[in-house]
Amino acid sequence: MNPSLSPETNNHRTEANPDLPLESVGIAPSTAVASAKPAVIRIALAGNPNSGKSSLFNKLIGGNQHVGNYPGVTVEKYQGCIRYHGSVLEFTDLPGIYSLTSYSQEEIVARRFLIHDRPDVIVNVIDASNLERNLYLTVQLLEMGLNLVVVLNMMDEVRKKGMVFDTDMLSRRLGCPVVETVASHGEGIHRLKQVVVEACGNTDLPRVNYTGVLGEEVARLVPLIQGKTPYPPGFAAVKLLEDDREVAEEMHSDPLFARLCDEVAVSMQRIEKESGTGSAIVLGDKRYGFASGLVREITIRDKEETVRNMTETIDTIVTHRLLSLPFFALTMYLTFWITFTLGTPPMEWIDSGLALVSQFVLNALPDTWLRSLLVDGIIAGVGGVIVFLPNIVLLFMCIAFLEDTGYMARIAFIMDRVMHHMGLHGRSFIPLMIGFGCTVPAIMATRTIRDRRGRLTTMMILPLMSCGARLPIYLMIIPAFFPKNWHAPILWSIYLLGVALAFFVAIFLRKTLFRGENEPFVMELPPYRMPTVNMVLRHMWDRSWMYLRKAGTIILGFSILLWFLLNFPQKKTYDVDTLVAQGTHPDLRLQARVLSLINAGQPAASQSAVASDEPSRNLTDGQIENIRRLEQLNHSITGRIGHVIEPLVRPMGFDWKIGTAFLGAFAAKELFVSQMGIILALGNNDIDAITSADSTPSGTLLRIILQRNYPNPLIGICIILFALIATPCMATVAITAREAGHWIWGVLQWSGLTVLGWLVTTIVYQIGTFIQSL
Amino acid sequence: MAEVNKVGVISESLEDYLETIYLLIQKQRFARMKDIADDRNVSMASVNSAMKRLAKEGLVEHASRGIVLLTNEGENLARMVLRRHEFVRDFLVSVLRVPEAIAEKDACSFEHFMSPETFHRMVTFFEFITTCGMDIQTHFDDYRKHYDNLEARDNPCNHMHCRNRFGAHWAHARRLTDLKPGESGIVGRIRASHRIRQRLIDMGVLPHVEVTLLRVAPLGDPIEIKLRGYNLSLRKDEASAILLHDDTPESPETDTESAHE
Ligand SMILES: Nc1nc2c(ncn2[C@@H]2O[C@H](COP(=O)(O)OP(=O)(O)OP(=O)(O)O)[C@@H](O)[C@H]2O)c(=O)[nH]1
Ligand SMILES: [Mg+2]
Ligand SMILES: [Zn+2]
Ligand SMILES: [Zn+2]
Repeated sequence: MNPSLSPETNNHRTEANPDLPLESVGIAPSTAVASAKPAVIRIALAGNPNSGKSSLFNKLIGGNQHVGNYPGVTVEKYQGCIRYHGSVLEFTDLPGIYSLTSYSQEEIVARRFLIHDRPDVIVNVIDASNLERNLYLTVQLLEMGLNLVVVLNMMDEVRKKGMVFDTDMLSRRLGCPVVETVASHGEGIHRLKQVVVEACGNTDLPRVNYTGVLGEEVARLVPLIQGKTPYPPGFAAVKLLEDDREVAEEMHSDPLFARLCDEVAVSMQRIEKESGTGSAIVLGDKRYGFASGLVREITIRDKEETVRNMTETIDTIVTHRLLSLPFFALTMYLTFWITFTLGTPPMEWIDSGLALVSQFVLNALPDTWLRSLLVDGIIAGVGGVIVFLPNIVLLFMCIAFLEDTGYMARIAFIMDRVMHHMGLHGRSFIPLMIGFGCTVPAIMATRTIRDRRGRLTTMMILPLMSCGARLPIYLMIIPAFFPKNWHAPILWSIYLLGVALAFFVAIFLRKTLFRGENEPFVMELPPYRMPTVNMVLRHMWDRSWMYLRKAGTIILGFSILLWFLLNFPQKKTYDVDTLVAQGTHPDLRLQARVLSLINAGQPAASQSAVASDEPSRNLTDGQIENIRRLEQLNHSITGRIGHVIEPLVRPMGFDWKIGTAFLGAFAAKELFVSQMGIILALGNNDIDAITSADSTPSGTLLRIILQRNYPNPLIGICIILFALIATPCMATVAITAREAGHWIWGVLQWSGLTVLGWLVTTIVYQIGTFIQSL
Repeated sequence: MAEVNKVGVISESLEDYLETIYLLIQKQRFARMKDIADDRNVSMASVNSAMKRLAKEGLVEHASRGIVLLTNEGENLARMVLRRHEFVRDFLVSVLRVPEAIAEKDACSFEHFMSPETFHRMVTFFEFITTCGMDIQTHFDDYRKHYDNLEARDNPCNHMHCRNRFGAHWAHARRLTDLKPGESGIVGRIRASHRIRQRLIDMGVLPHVEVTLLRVAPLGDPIEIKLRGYNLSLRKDEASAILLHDDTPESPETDTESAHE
């Protein structure tokens, strides 16, 4: 038996390069190939998650790729070009991978890209402070027969630890150029570009030869595979020995596939008999054996033991058995505190700015439908979203900070147990947290969840995390129905209720629709790193931009649509004008309505005014205008739809007005408030005031009207419940459909949550009225 | 009982394949080679050769693109095997009080080896004890109670199972999850499904590698380990699949181990 086959010798031998002889070809002489450079050089960045590929990419092309100290940040490939000495360099940032199996989506994506798109040069980014594991992938890339340039990134950390590597030796051993970089500071970038251009067109590629039985079996299989797969035959043979389903599947149509299968089985058996373990382990062992041998060989000076390991120290506190949860709670509290406390003043500025703009438009334009569209439709609708921008920006800043330090990975670690109960992965926790800010970027953040079913489940429950846009609804409703010292506990319990519902819905989904094996939780915990201000700001901007874009596109569109639905068909003559002109009031119902409006509009007015016979006498121009609005609403498409759906919302205790306001909430939750205001026939300025501050008298006005219209606080609870659970907004549904890959998921999310909201609200209302009647 | 005789004509693993195909068809209306391999956790190669043998027996037919169909005869046989499987499992659980998971596994082997005669007797016995007089019933309840209590302490059957499947040496090996925070161990074997094993291999969890348990998450589940100079977190489910070498390897099974310091 060949001694180099038994696993232990691979790991414990110290001779140079014992197990995996790579033909050391060195770097091809650059002058020879320099003349034949193509105009466009296509370069792929591949490497382990969190090794700094995106950082490097950003430095290379001045791009804006998402970076985070959290494995698996980049999930889609991302391209960018630069000009360099007469040629165009096209870089592709690939998702981070540990291996080239077919068990994870990223690995399949990367593998297919490397094979089918055939980039000219592969830049293998290596975290030099974690050489051994990173080199494992390098070996596999060499197995694929690629034109590699190896980048030793994070050299600053290596130096800080007092380690020194022999880069030339590494280059000779691997047979490809090696460049040292510090991606976060841009060190070595220039040289990398140079080396990449030189390496392009290199045909003298290093090859991996396995020794022992493994080598024999690979050699035996190669002729059988030749020409049947897009992968290099040697690589395909190795993958077949690892029982790679994808590679096998691709050759399935081949007439000799059955024979190949038999041969592979024979090879596996032989390897197993010789080594005592499965062929997958033997392969893993060979590669790691090579990597660790290489590391030992090139290490000139090892880690100084005296350097204190900061990560260990932080982790003993942050993941401590008793301290971790309080610390986590504190972090969350701080995040929300920063978001809401620091966010309030700029929010007020934006609010008054918007008021100025609409005032300006009101003054500048004549009273036409265009002005109404601008002020009531666009400025009110889009403004309602932009008002929350400060909150959103601050929340994203905090999250970016947590991500870049590496604490997010710890959150996944700490919370995995809870998420596991929901049938989800610890990683799902982070999107759920972002969901408290805005559901749209949260759904995009689910991309880090590898397992599709887990990801879909997370998307479905995400709208139950009460997002920032729902806050104005709560801020309007809660003070309108409840005494002051109840406000905070009620607000708190709404958020909790959302979380609790999400928990049960997730369990339900994992038991029914998304049944299936859980993604194994095997996650790297990266060392803590100090985030740069630049990076945090960039992150913050990325996500905020996404939010702004939602305001600019979907919300804008829907504001216009809603405005249209509210204003058409247009009522030509208003009853109130006729009545006022006549000076008589034959319609008692209208009379009553007018009265209630006057009452509501002037809280100081005495209740006895209701009994008055001739109210028109007291009507001011503004009040008449309000009544016109109400009549218009009744006449409009929205009003008609509201009346049609009234039987549906009745069981929840709502009348047609609340139902109509919720139609607006479908476009964006925050539109509920302005819709409610319009429907209760109040001027627009007043509505804007409510969203901004708690204490302005105009804010209390709508609340008083609400209270008058709906004396039962149960209605308040029901509005809140329905706003929390039902009808995720348009943008959420759209992004879900896009991210999940099919519109059906958006529809499912919307209808599922709406039905759930209806059920919960109805049950609460019915039980509530029953108890009240006792 | 006449049909029962058919069982045993083909080898046990082929019967298991039939069973798998039958269940897959029940579940998703078709069975692909890939699904079969996934389900049984074996290589495509083995599925391929098994399908060839089943086809020779006239029990399955190949449709296009790796889809496998059962012939009438194949379906009957599969149903028979399944019926036996279910009966044996129920018998083990409800009569002998064998824990559910073990019963499931054992049923899978009994179903192939048991002669039709024994099967028949088992059925009669089952009928007998469930319909017989008071006296036997009470005695029998005592017997079962005894086993129910035994079970609460430690289940003895487990050991037999480990021994059969993984050889004596690994039967009582420590697992990664048995380490205390701060303790280290040397990885011996990985006993997990294909998918998880490959993932662990890729992360460098291989035989003869030293791993240190750093900590257990505050809520008790994922654990954090250190290996090859980096930190990795795993759920206990996955970590318990990693068996450790004893501190003093003495088993004759692997003499190469003594070379390891
Ligand atoms: N100290 C140091 N940190 C670095 C260096 N390069 C990147 N980082 C940090 O390492 C972390 C990971 O960087 P990313 O660029 O997101 O890594 P990635 O390879 O794109 O990761 P994935 O997209 O998850 O595969 C970030 O926190 C970076 O700030 C470096 O040279 N030195
Ligand atoms: Mg990245
Ligand atoms: Zn069985
Ligand atoms: Zn045992």
